[in-house]
Amino acid sequence: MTRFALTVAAGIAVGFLASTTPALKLRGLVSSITNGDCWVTVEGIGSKDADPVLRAFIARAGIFGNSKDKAVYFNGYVGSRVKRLKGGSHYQITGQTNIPAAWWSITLYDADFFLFDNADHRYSFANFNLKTDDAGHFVIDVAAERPPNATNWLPSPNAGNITLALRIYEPTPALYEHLATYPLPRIVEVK
Amino acid sequence: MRRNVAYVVIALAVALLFGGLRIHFLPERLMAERTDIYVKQAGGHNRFVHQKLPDASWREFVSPSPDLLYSYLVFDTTQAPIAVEIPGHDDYWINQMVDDRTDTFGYVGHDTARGGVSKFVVYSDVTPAFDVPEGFSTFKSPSPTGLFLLRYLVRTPDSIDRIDEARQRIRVWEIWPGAKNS
Repeated sequence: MTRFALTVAAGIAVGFLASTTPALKLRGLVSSITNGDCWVTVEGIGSKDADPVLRAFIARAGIFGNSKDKAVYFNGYVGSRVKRLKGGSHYQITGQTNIPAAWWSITLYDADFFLFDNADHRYSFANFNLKTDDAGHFVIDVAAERPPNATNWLPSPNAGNITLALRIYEPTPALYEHLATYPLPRIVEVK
Repeated sequence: MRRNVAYVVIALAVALLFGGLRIHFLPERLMAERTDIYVKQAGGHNRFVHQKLPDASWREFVSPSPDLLYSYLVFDTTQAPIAVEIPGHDDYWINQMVDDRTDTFGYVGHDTARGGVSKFVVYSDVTPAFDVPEGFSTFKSPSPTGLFLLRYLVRTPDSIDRIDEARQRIRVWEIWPGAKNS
């Protein structure tokens, strides 16, 4: 009886570990889609067709996300898609504002996924408020201090993890059917 | 040896069952945690809570968009369907309708309303029979309760008051049998 009870307890422990957030993240990693080696998203956000494990991951990581014809969501990375970006580093995001969608934005989150408190109250940039050149090309500087000549400065913490979230609302099929390949803004780290 | 294999099989079966149930019910559990909060904030079901524009002090949920004004309503259709009228608005807005398992079952928004008033009724399998008011579309929720997530785009700080005024004019009411509904 004791051995049976221990067996059941071991099964419960394994089942618990296999259903925790880190385990779900592994499932999310398997279904992740990368774009341009700097944006990552997950197939199946807002879809009932995702398997139960992926649905659980999405519910934990991005509850109430819209289906891809309503919105697509990417997180930015440089180098490794499993590592968060770093406060204190200087990143530049460059691209064109004419992504085919109703509108889009890039938002910075702090280590706890809240908006970073800064004197400018600047938390994001969108296609409608970016300063661009005559060709619609923009540069966003993500940094703790405003870099000289920065046209669009997105203040960042001086340390700790950060996240850059690209949200594209009502994308066209040309974009949401080609999440891995549609040209999106680029992120580089400025050394 | 055979007994050891049997114990391993039992342990794996228990792990699969326990872990599987936790995973299967995770969306519902997360949904219930959220809607409990929203019902308390609203003072009941079928009432909208209108939030301020997210800033660094925002703690309602993680990763909010600072370009959106959020509102939410936890609906309950067990006693009656609910009718909603959202005033016309000339920029991006969307009302996402979500069931108890966090699955979306319907949308209305700027693309469906095209600047006009959006009128719709939400019901479920357990809702008593009702007459649909004229001019209203209908959405059937897979569960008796669920959530509306309403989002408005804020292009400039100047648009906040205008959106707030529109939000205050949103009408929500239950369609009771025999009552004149309009």
